[in-house]
Amino acid sequence: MYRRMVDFFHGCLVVMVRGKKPEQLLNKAVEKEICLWDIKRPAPDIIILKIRAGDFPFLRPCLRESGTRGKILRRAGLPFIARRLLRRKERLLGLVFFLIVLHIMASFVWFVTIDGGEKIGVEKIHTGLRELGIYPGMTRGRIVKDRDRLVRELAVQFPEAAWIGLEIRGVVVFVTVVERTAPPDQESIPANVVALKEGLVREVIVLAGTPVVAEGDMVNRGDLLILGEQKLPRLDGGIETRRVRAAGIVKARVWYEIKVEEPLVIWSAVRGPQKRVELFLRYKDRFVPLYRRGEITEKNYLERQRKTIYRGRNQMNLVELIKDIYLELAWVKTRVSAEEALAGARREGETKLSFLLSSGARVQDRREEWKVTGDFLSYRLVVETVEDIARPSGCITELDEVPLPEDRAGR
Amino acid sequence: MGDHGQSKKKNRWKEKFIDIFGLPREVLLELPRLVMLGNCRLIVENHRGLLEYTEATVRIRTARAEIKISGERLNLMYMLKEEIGLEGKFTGIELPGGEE
Repeated sequence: MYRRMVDFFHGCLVVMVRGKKPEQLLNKAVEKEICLWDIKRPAPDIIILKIRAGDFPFLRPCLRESGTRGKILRRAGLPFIARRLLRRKERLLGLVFFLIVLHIMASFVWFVTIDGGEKIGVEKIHTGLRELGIYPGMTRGRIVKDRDRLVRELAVQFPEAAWIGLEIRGVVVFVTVVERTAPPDQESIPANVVALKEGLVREVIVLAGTPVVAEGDMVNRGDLLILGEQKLPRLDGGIETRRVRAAGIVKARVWYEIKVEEPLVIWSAVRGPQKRVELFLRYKDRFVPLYRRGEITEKNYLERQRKTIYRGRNQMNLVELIKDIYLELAWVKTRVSAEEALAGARREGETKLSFLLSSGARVQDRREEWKVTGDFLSYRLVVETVEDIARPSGCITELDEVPLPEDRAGR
Repeated sequence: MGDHGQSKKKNRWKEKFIDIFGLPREVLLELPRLVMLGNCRLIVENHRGLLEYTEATVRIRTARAEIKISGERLNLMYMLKEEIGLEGKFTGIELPGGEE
């Protein structure tokens, strides 16, 4: 292959040699280091061979010496093609024109192919692509340049698609759409309703299923409230039990207790007048002390500053300058008043409560107590709410695992 | 006769020298090297020229003797100063007396 390419670029000649002893010509040509190939002998006094165009002048003396005659049958290769083209200017112009047209035509998108997206609809995807500027006739360069952005925009435009791929092969844009597979509808699966929180039941409104708790029952977290079964009377007098997805509202009184311990004595650090500065040079794991200034009785570390040396040649941070600053710190005891401590405890209590309360909870009662014991203030907040504690428990297969409230188990 | 005897003696020394130093024989003794691919392609190295070339017979001169290749539809693929490439259906290769 390589040799053929070289021959094409140099140009080769198909020569017919006629004479009594053509072998002599071959030997003489080879002696002059002329390369010959595809040597055929169609008749006893004829040899057809191929030779590089540049070697033909050296073959002429060999022809004379061997008493043979040579005739060029065909000229092939780039030099001859170029000569022919230059001789006929209109052909060259035609070729140049053709190449320019080919280049221009190849810089446009001619086809847009969509793979997948049957649920979304191929027409809808085509419209979406057109809106983003992907249609036959637009330049390839724009799509290549904006490919990532276009894929992102397509993903926004078609949320039903899990993945969208955009590939440009030649003049064809391939759009691959992989659609999401939706999980089974949770709403249709039979399920129970259980208690989300511990509380005293005040009201039970059943939308679907059979209630297993009544007003006045005390329930714990996870207790069964509404069973996912419905009993329906049949025409023949019997009763049919059907599995349903239980639904309803179970309002209960729920109590929240929050305890906060607030200190009345606080130790805080106060900066003293003494300061000490230490300077090191680090090389790998070794620390070389360079400089020290200042004396302090007790070293209280404050901060460390690092500086990379000679950044250009020190990419791995092998060498760096480290400056440690130690400050003298004195611990001071500060006494907080009971009012301040109580305000702090209330703030903390409210924050904790906001995390515990449900969105639809109505606060019915609120009690707070506090007392000072030694250096601490103990704060206790009790909040009573009325809220819906019903929550679907998931699949009906969990039915047996859900504990029934003790006093309702026999019902 | 004397020249022939001297040449034989010289060759014997050459061979001993080659054996001792483990040198390539074909280079120092100018022996032809034949590489054959099945019975359809043959490369002959260290040749001294072509004696005969027809579609049925190719005779190649080497430093010590002549190689005769017979077959059908024989073609010279290429011919260089040191190497000849042949293709066709080979039926026989003769190495007449003189090769050692």
